[in-house]
Amino acid sequence: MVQPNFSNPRKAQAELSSSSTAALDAFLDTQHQSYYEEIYKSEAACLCILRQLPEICRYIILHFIWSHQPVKSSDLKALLRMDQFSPLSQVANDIQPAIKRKIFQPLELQQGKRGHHTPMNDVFKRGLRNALTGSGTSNSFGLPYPLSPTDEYPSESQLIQFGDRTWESILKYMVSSGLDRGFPVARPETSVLRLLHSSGLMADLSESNGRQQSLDRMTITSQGFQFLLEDRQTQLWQILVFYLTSIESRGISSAPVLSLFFSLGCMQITQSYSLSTFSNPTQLQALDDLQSYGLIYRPATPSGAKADYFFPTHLSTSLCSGNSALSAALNTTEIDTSHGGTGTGVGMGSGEDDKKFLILETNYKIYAYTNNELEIAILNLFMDIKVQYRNLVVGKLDRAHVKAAMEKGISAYQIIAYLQSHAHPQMYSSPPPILHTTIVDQLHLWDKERNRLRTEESEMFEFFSKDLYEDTEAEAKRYDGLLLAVPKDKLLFVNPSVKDAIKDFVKGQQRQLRGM
Amino acid sequence: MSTYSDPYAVKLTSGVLITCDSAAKQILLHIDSQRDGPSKFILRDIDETHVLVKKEHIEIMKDLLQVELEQNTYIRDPNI
Repeated sequence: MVQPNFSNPRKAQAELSSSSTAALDAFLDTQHQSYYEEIYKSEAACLCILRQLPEICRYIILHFIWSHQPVKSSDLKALLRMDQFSPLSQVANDIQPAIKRKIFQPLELQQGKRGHHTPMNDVFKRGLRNALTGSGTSNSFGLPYPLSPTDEYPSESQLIQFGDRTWESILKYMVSSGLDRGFPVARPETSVLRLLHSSGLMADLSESNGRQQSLDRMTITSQGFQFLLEDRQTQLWQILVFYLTSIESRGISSAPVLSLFFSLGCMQITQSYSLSTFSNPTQLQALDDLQSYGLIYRPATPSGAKADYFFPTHLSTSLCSGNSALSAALNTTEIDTSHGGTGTGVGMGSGEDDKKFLILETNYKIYAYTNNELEIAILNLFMDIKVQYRNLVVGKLDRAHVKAAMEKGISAYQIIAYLQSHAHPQMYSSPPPILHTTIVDQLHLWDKERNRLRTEESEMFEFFSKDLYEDTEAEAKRYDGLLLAVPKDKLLFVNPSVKDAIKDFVKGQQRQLRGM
Repeated sequence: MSTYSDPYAVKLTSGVLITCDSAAKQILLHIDSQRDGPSKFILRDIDETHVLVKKEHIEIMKDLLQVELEQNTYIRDPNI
């Protein structure tokens, strides 16, 4: 049974932070050199890409950023305190993430008199230098917009509230569509629904031929359920990457929009920014769309038109800073509002501490201290809610509900991850693991019940001659098509894709053996 | 040509290879034993954890197994 690893908390944390941008990483991995040249024109993008690299790569890049020479493998080895005679692959391995982001080129490509070397990408180098020195003219960190006294000026808590409400209303819409008795929810913007549909998070199941998909009759898919259980940061990047792919599918380069995301990630909350830096029409369109997700807030002018400035919300300003920064930002704002008294108090529903509301007992009972409709709806996916008070939900993890959730495509790992990340501070007072082993095991067992059978299409060859059997077995292994061999009964099970090849082989062997 | 006269004969059967735990396999054998004629689905009982079954019956077989497993699951009376 798989147990969470407590012996090495640092490692677990590293995996967690890398996973929140997993969607972005996967997207970037498929892009070509020209795409990177495009986004590296933005200083903000250079900085954000740098932040996402592993520590060792950041160290190397910052060490060589002011150098005019290509980076030599001997210098790298010296920097990393490696033996000068250690194999090149060892160094190459360390800078591999940077090579993937086209900052360096593979070391094997260029060999000079004194060993291998690689240049640093010029556009990236210039961008990062500008980012570090605050020079450059692209204004990719945003151009502050001077507000006149009559302009609307939202406070930080108002922005957080706007962001949370908008984002959660989308999630609520998704989860409500999957319930028998949905609760009343606002319909998100059509552009949002279209993206939810194209990303496969929601689909119109009543229309099987897929031609007349109605955005209003969509229900959540198993992919969508999995999406709901992810943490906020992961969800945001998944949606943003879906957004990028949807732009690409229209034949437009998504690079300016990705630069825009990175710019937003470097901005400050409560600062107003001018739209004038984002000249590209796709960027302007993207800014319009981002408002419907709650990533930016753009006040309306008295005349009704949209203002030509906007405020980023905490959802976008934390994009490039990992989970810890998001929670830190939330914690500080909570302190601020409690002191200043500017916040409404009610809307602050998703502070990192407020997220930890769940107590799970060894008898499978769950006490969830929450009144957030979204969280209750998510809990309702896999637990049997017995009692619901104003600030407390009591229920039980039972087989029927967990199995129903698993039917929808949610795995035991996701339920466990959700329970773990929402565990009440009280749960930490007992010795680890946070979740009791019996419950974790039981969830895995329920998951396994689903697929007790593994089925593979197969061709069975039944032999009488031991020699022929052994020769054919070796041949099938060579084709990598052997599913199972039973020497006792001289049976071979091979993949249907190699059936013909094996048949020909057997015929050839038979001819030979009979001829002897 | 009978198989005895030709030691190099090879018999070929297509189907779906099922890998499962031995308890599940026994249930499959039991379900199969209650069906007759063309609706039998097991082609070959291979060993403790493998059987070869007919491709066309695979979905119904999975459903029957699920029904059987559900019957063997203890569900506590909610009123107690």
